[in-house]
Amino acid sequence: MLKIIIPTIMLLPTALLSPKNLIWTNTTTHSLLIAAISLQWLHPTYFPHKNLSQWAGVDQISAPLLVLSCWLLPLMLMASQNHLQQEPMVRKRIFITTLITIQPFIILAFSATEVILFYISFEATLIPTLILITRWGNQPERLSAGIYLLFYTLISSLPLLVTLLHLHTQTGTLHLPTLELMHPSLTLSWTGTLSGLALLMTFMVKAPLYGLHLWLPKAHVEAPIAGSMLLAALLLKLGGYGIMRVTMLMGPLTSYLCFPFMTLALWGALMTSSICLRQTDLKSLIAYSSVSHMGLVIAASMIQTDWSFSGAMILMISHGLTSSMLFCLANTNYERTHSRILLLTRGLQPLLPLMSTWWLLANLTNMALPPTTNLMAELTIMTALFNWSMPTIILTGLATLLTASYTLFMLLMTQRGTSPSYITSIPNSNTREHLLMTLHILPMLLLMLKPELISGTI
Amino acid sequence: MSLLHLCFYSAFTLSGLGLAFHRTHFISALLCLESMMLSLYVALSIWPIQTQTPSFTLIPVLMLAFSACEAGTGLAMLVSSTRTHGSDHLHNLNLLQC
Amino acid sequence: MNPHAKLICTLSLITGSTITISSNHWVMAWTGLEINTLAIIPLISKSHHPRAVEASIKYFLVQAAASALLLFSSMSNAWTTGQWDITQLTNPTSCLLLTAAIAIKLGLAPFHFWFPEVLQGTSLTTALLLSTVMKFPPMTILFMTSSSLNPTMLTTLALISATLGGWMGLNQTQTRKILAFSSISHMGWMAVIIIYDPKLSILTFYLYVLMTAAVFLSLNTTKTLKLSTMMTSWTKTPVLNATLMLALLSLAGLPPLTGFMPKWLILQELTKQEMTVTAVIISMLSLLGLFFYLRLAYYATITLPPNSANHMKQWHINKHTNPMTAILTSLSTTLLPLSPMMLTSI
Repeated sequence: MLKIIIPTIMLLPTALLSPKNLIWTNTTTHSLLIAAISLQWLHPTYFPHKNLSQWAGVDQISAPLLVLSCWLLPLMLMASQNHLQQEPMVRKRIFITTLITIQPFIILAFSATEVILFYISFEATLIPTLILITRWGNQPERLSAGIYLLFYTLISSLPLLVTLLHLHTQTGTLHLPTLELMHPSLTLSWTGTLSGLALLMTFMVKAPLYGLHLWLPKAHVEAPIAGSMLLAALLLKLGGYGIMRVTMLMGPLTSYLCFPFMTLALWGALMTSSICLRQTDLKSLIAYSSVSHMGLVIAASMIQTDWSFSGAMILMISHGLTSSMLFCLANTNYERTHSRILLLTRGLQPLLPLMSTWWLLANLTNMALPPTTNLMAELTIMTALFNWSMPTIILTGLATLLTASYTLFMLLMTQRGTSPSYITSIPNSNTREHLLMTLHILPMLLLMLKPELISGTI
Repeated sequence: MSLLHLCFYSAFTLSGLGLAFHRTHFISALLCLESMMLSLYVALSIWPIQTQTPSFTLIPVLMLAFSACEAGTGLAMLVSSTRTHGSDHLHNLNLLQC
Repeated sequence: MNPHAKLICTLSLITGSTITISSNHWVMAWTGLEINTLAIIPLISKSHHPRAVEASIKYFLVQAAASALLLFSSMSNAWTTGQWDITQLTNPTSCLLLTAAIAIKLGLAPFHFWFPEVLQGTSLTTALLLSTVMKFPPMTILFMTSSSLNPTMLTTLALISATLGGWMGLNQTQTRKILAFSSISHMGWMAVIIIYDPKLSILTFYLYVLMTAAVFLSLNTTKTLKLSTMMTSWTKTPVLNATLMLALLSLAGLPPLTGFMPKWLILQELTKQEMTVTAVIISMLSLLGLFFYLRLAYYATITLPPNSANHMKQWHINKHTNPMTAILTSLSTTLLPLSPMMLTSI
């Protein structure tokens, strides 16, 4: 673990001490090197845990998420270069430092085998995210977005802390592999039910479940591009990862507790997809599409079968890359037209022809076109849910249909049609942006060839 | 509870209640504090006699000395409040309320 | 203030605290408390401003009444048991009276009304003294008598002060009052654990002193007394304001900062004592406090516009920052990884 964490921490001095003209190059190269080293985690082993130490270990569920988080850091750095151009050097350094500070905590959260360490690093991602959103956002609404983010997370997670400590006094350990073997006794009494709810609720808010998702569109809309990428690609995955870990511990309780969550998740996938159809704000549309996809992840991880887990894993990874790419694309539009309103940024294909290729590719993966990993994930999840209960096929089928339609809606609105007369001159798309999109789409294309790397099963 | 206990307990309680509920003049608050101290002094000076512990007889004097210091500080503040607020009315002290 | 008088006051403060901390006899403990009260009064009223005089009068009346009550409780205990030993407080009525007296001294709700007002009337450094040094002797008395106090009453007091401290701080605009209410809610966290694990309570107090000193000293550097000053104070010392934000969030108890450690340990101890409901309630109440710390943090540094705006700025003076502030701030943000060491050493 330290092989990755120490270089990640050493990114901080790199960001603070690099000479003026090399700061972006140095940090991006350094973090890309870390991402390259982190690929070794994907190598499958016979044992359930790789690099197992007292407090951390990598297994097949956390490995793809860890690699994803290492991969996303250079992309975030590349994406935020343009909007920081006007800032003085000190602020650039501070921005990069904030961005880098989150990284060790996310790595710790995904790899921790001690639950309290997981909790602390899970919460520790909050402060840098808060700074990223409220310090670097643009509109005055960013303040309430920050408060929503902080308070939604903390209100749901403090009961989790108390429940974890309670579990610790009962079982004497909070070591995940040990706990999985011990089957801690969360009985069907009302204290057991409450503990189960407290265990799940944090991750349900973070994932987010429909009904608890109000903080997410706000945060996405207000955050700068790096914040949006971070939220969509990594922080939501912390929620999904947490649900998977916690449901393994809860034993027989999950099969009773899962009904309200399943209902909300599947119904929410439907509702948020329909909200997307009526959305006027591009970033908000992508945010709601993340809620809808994460609804499928929640539903899959609640029923706890091998198929549903691997479906949830594949969906998390591919959604992480896809939504991050969509946010980047939305940001390139925003930087040129200074508007997120769909009505004002229409018909960009004649103006930015190569960019519209990226739009097409991103949208096709988002709507789960056949060879993509998104399709594999959705099919696996739908099959698992169908096996769990027949009627779910109606909800999941409708959700897929709606996903396809709103994605098409987004593509047609932004790219097709006559270009508006008030857009007279916009800067060309540059190499940095194309590289950014390539680095997003390449892993997706490569993963199609070997999806078992991210499928979570041994 | 003997008559003796009743005496100084009720003296302390009554002067404490006076401090708590009679809030017009600062000087009356100081007097109430002083009478609390005096009832404590009486109780402290009877205790060694009742329990026959002569080593304790010096303590009440120490206590009295400190309560005299306290009363002196109180009077000094009475003067300063008269200089800044014009009177010793306790309801004048409302500059800092939330 | 005359330096000699200041020296005498400071020395007496140290003497009084030392006497109370090291005493084993109620009368000596009372004496130390009295010396403390008498020594801080000139420091409070040194500016001769009507507000300072008012603060010193309020402080004097409350403290004198509380110490009289403390002596009365120990005296009634001596009349029934014949003991003047601090650790031998066995009479239940005396225990209740003592709890009330200490609660007044510490500013635990519902005896907390004097505290924000007194803090508001003093300078920032004296306010720091009032919320840290002046609370140490009562804390040690509470520590020594913790075995005989009434758990229900202390838990109730603690929950009320956590509630009121969080609730009443919400609509304040004066930094000293906000910090006073934060002190009240922190006192609640200390009082809830004092019976079950007195050492943990003292550790919480130490860490609270560390964090609150960092915040007060940072505010003192920029002379920030109210939120509107805070909004424009970043031009003086931008880095200090950034670290002030971290210190404030640490005071709020967000992981991975130092302030999370006492909360975590207290919650753990409470769940061990089968007080899970109390643990959940008090942790939720800390969110009320988080709201105003977050507002302070917003004003301190987070809401600076991405580009420099043209609002009024304060004069930029290259003032020498106290190195103590730097040490305290870094301690108050980064101590969490050391928690195993602290746990074993207390």
